[in-house]
Amino acid sequence: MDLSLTSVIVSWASFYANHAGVRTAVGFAHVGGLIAGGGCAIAADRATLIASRQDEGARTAHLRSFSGVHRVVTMGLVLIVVSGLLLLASDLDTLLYSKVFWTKMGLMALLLVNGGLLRRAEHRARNGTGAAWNTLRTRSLASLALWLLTTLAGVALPNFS
Amino acid sequence: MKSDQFCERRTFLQLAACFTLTAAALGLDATDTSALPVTEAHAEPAGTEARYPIPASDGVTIDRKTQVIIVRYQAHVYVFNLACPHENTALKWLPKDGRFQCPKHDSKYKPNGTFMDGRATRNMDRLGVRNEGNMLVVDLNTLLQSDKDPSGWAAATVAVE
Repeated sequence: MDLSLTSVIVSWASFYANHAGVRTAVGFAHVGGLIAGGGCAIAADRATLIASRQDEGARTAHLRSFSGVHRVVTMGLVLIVVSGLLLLASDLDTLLYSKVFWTKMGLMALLLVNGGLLRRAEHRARNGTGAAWNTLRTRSLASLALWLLTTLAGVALPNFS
Repeated sequence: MKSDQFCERRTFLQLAACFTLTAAALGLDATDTSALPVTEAHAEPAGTEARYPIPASDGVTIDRKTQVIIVRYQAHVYVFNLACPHENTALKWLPKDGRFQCPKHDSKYKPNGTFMDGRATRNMDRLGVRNEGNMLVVDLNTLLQSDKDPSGWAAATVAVE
């Protein structure tokens, strides 16, 4: 049995193309991860922007509610990445040459970096660094924009390949 | 609480790095991608025409710049528009199944462009071709649709030995 990366990709592309149930499951994992992870992230970003304009008590309460959100966002991102790799392998030839695909990957990388920076700012805000809230606000705005732009690139992908 | 946060963040970054590396390995290994049974071609169009060497053996060649697919199949060479006639999404070639499939709505086509199954309502669109000194000359302005010009569509082929 040929187990080289090429033959695995060719076999997966064929399996994926011939099984509507598999296409549905992978597509659902990708969109479901986006709804769960991105939805929670956007709600948390919005709450951060509101809390940044409120008093210390409201800010502290907001930070306390953060940890549960990160878990859901991380799980959503894992689902998005795993299903995204399966989608990439199902149409590698087209996607490797697509500018929209690489734009989406760039936005995804920025989203991950921004997520890391947002967590660092959140940690500093917990430790009472006042200036951290300015960073949190900026990172939350960037997160909102990046989730929406990544979604836009994903929607555009089949139309501009 | 603090150690939990750090652990979560570390897990997040580890997962992100792991998947980024996997994506890079899948997407950027030139040896693997060039080993896929689809070859890429680049022809500089001269006016409304593009010239390609006639394929030496059966196979699929894609020129993404001119958006055409060249197929040598059963002693004939055909040139198709890269886009599916249904909603203009780039078609993919499934080497294991020996057919084309649209990734958007799963329309399926034989290597000679004949519609098999799916939402499309006609065969893959062919372009006008002729053999000139062992070069395939493609008329990029002549898009032949099987439902509007069945005889022109059927004649758009070059016989090879």
